Amino acid sequence: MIEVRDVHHVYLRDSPLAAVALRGISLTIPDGERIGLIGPTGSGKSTLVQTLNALIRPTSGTVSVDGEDIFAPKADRRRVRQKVALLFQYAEQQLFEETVAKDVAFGPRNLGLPEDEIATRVHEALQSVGLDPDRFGPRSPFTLSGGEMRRVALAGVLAMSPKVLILDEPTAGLDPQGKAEFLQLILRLHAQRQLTVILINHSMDEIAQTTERVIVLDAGRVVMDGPTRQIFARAEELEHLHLGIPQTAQILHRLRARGLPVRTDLFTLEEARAEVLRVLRPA
Amino acid sequence: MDGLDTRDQPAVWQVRQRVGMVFQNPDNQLVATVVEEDVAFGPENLGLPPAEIRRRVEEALRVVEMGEYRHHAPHLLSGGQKQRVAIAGILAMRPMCLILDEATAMLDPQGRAEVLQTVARLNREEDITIVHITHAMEEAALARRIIALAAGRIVLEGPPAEVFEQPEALRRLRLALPPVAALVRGLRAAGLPLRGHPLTVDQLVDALTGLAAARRP
Ligand SMILES: Nc1ncnc2c1ncn2[C@@H]1O[C@H](COP(=O)(O)OP(=O)(O)OP(=O)(O)O)[C@@H](O)[C@H]1O
Ligand SMILES: [Mg+2]
Repeated sequence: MIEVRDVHHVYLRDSPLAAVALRGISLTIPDGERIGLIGPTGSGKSTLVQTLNALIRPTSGTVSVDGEDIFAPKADRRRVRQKVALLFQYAEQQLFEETVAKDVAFGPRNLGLPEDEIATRVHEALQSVGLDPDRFGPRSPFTLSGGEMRRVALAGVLAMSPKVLILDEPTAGLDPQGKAEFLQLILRLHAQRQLTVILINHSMDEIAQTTERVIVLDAGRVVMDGPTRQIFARAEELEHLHLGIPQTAQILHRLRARGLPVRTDLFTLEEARAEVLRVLRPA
Repeated sequence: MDGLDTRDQPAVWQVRQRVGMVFQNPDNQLVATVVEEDVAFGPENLGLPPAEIRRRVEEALRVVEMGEYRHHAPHLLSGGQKQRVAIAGILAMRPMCLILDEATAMLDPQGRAEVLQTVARLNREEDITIVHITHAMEEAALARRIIALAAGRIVLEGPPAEVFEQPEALRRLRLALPPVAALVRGLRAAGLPLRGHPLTVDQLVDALTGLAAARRP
């Protein structure tokens, strides 16, 4: 479980360019949840998730992982980063080894694991992301497609055996099928490894499909937090925050505004289809 | 390009002034240490008078709503903010053609909508050609013409209404229907007599309320 208590963060404190990124964030994240973290550009999403695995030390406030204050003087921050893994946006830009297998092995090797354990983890991680270890392991990462490279980067993170997987815009730049496949993969990993998943994403459609709880940031504060279905029913507030709702939900909201008795707390394609048919069933 | 041969080395600057590119990764496009200087970089290279440069910078920053950040350092902005500055830098060149290479991928939904509205306005009012490279099918649906490439060849081309009538071909290309078109397909398959090619939320809402009205006794 992750507990965030009154976290504030100011970049470039004491300089004329000081930027307040977080203004008093408190959150509890139980194990195994699938969370969507959304918010307008500059609202502090990337900053917040970097405080969760101790990449950024907040100006004030505390973050604890499984009861341990990760910024306490004696805290083992390497272990925190192993437990709480962060896949950066365009993570494939950080691949650098000459083979896929070496790249995935980088993290576990840094943990000082024995060679056979490293080999097992690399094998399992590549399998988890749907890349055949024998076929892809020896290849250069730079000969892969964008979607495959992104998977290699994810495998590198999974090889650390994290409990919490944070993904900062993981589908940006992938083709539509690549996006759908990547999200399916995340859902499968969540189910198989009982991971906590925190997904930052600007696509409300993708958030709607993959998460059960949505946290909305605005100007460094948590302004909404609740079950995905309830959050997307608050269309006006979301639009006010520059966020909007999935297109299918927009359609239901507009139909209702025009007097059709449709529900507005639905958002998947299948739900919207069934609801429109319920009200407009062909004679 | 506008009668210029792009192979002609001396014409390169004239071509680049006419065709502005905004790339996927804003970090690779920002050159100055202050936002307004970054936006001024292009017009300065065109040798415009300082007053004109200032006017263009003002206007471009206003269009992308980054005016209040004019004195900030671009590399310290968030991803979405950087991209808006990069777009402003191109707009300040007053190009004939604006190419957006996934330039909206990192923006929040409203930022994205604002950029799309801005380029739609530039297209309508300033007659600027827009080439929008995108993985978002609902954005492609807003174009007048879609071109799909695969393995270096044009494999599909036509107005959105035609291209999005071919779900199988799209799937083979690892593409997909925009959400509205996918919903339309599901509704038609269930026997709902939807006519035309609704591709946007507004178009589908109009079509459905039309059906409901016709249904009333
Ligand atoms: N390294 C930095 N130095 C100074 N200010 C920064 C730095 N990184 C971010 N900021 C500022 O902190 C605020 C929050 O930025 P952050 O990157 O967390 O936003 P975000 O919600 O992830 O935005 P986006 O959706 O655009 O990625 C912004 O105002 C940004 O300009
Ligand atoms: Mg971010």
